[in-house]
Amino acid sequence: MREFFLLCHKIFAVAAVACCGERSCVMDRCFIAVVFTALTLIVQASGQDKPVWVTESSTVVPGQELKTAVKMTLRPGWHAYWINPGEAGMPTSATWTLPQGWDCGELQHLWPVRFKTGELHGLGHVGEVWYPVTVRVPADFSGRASLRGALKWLACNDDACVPGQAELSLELVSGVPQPSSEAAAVLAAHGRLPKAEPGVSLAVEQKDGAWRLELHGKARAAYINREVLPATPDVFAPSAEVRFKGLADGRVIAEVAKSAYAGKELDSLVLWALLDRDRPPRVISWKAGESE
Amino acid sequence: MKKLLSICMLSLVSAFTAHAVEPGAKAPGFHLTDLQGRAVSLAAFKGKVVVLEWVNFGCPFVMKHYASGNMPALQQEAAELGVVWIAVNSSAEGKQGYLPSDQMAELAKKQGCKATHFVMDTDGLVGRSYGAKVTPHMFIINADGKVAYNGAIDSKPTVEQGDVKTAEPWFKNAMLAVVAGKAIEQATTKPYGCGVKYAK
Repeated sequence: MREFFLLCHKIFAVAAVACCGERSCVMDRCFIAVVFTALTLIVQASGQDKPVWVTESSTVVPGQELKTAVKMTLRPGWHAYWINPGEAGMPTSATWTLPQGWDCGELQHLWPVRFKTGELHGLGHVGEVWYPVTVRVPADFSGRASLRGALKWLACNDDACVPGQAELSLELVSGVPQPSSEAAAVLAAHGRLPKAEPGVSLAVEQKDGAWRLELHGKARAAYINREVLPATPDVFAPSAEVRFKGLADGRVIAEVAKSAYAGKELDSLVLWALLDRDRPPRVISWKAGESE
Repeated sequence: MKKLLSICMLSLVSAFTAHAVEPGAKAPGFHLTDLQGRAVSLAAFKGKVVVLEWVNFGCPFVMKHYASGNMPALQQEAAELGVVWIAVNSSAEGKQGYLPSDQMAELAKKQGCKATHFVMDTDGLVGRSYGAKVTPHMFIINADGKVAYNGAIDSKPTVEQGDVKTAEPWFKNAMLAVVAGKAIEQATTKPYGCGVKYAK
């Protein structure tokens, strides 16, 4: 898309120079050259290509849970933010305008990368970013449906931050599901969504000004030394790493420095853990007051 | 030589910002020149309440508060209360937010900025001494020269102008409390915004 604009810019720029050099300058061509220059500059100034909403199938059956996703491609050096953005930034989110009975839930995020914007620690995504969206088709659906969404994000690099907004649209028709050209990629993105961990529970307490996390349950040893990230913002200090270690008595604990902005009491904590790079992350939740 | 000295000072300052100014701490001093060429130093404002506002007009979070008129209104209110308001731009040359002084003065005026002083902290020394992380990042220094507030402008970390009306005005509440000599309910809040574009 960007290459197209650049090519058009070159063509019209040449045409504009050629025509405007003459006495009988055609204002239209000059105007088009200006517009294309502006568009090129806008596309270059922003950190990403236009996001698109893609689906596993454009034909759906009533009551179906349709897997779809929003794909956004960020330019090198730019990043967008995770549900816990870190020290600054703003998570990518979407709001939906849907026909009666349809539901899209929240825009979902996949496992992030750590980066620094200047000196600030952040969590988010770079390059080709996928945000899975699960669409619930009403049980009485027939005919056509136009789904609309508004995507909002913040793209930053070391030198600048640019807020983003994009309209999303999806046209669906009732019928036998047929895999679209993006079906494989959409399914793969959904496959990377974090899954609840039934074999382990989390206990959280404060000790010596830091958080003390303990895992209980048969599967707890699998978490030792694995990468763990907080999905809940402002609980852990920005540079703190969460590393569970196994004690001699079989307990699995992690001590993590508190964020300066953590309240006196903690209501809840959600952790994502990557046990295996080839499998989806695990999600573990803790709520104050609930017994283990 | 000057550059070497700056680098040495920068390293020293960076080492200290690990425990950036918490409420109760002595506010780090500074000597800068504002856009009108006037000398601005913290020591000169002893006995007054001083607000430091880290600003970057290229940042959407800052623009939320200027386009909505929120920040200029707070600056106006501060002026009426005898509070000294210093807008600080710590953007490095070439990074978002930086402009040469005359263009910066024009832009600040265009945005309706009513700060008492607007200073360029291009080498970032003052920003780092305060631990200014994002724009906007607000600090309030009480008449005794101690930091009384370090944090966000308000409670809604978004770029939507509409959220200004419904957010809790944390900074404003703190400023009014300091001026009235009352205790601040929340002296430390998480500032939101774009990272300060410091020089490396």
